[in-house]
Amino acid sequence: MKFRDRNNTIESVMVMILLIIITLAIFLLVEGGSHSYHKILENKENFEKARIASSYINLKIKQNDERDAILLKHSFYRGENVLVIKHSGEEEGLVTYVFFSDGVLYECYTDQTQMPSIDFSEKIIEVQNVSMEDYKEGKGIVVTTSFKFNDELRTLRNMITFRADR
Amino acid sequence: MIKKYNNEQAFTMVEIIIAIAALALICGFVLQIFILASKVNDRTVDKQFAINECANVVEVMNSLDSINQLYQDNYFENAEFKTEGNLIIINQLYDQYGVTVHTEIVLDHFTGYMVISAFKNDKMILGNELTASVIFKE
Repeated sequence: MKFRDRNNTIESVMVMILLIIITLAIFLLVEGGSHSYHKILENKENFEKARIASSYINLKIKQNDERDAILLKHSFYRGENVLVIKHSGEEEGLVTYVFFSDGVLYECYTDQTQMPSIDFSEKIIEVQNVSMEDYKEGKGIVVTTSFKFNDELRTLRNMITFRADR
Repeated sequence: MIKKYNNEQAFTMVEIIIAIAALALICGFVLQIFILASKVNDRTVDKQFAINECANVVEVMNSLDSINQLYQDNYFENAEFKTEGNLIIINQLYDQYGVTVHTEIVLDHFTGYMVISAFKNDKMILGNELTASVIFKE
């Protein structure tokens, strides 16, 4: 009788240990899976944001690719290069500034006598970094966007060349 | 014998080991799925990067006045050029991703036909199905 009791106690302890192991394993598995899933999602989101920022600038340039309509002003706003799109026709005298400031890509549609400002700009997208440089002395613009991928900073380069005669 | 076994009612060491082994096996299998998902995601980004660089090649080629400009102005960085008759081969290496973009252009007077592919560690990540035409200004 005594032997059976001791046996039952050991059995119960073993079952509990086994259950604890299973619970721990499931918890770790779910935690690991959730972390892994969030990491994948975060990487994907960061990359997509960089791509959207780059595509947006690309689209803006292609839409307004006319003679002397697009120029890059160096260190124009808070030390950053600003893309200036001059409008014509009914929108004569108006400009669109596309610029990057404090982790956000902005678009500012205003009078050409005014400087760009965040206060009256539209937020396009939050992105790690966007830099715009001249390509081959005014033949186009190179847009470099940065994004975090597995905790390291990667860059995506997009070349946009002008079709209209300069 | 059966009666004796039923009376004891305890787990044997073998049973516990089997249970833990089965659990480890299931955990390992599930973890493998996450690792695979992460790898697939890495490959997707490499592929997107390659597509982006291929688009850059098309963009640059279409901005050229003539094919000679390609050699004169160093349009592609880290690029190797090879010319075989009317076939031009450009290989560009991007260190950051370890991706090589391979472009073959067949020239015909003022136009060209491009076939672009991308490789990583000698493994094709973007196939030859990516094609584009180019028209030079001159």
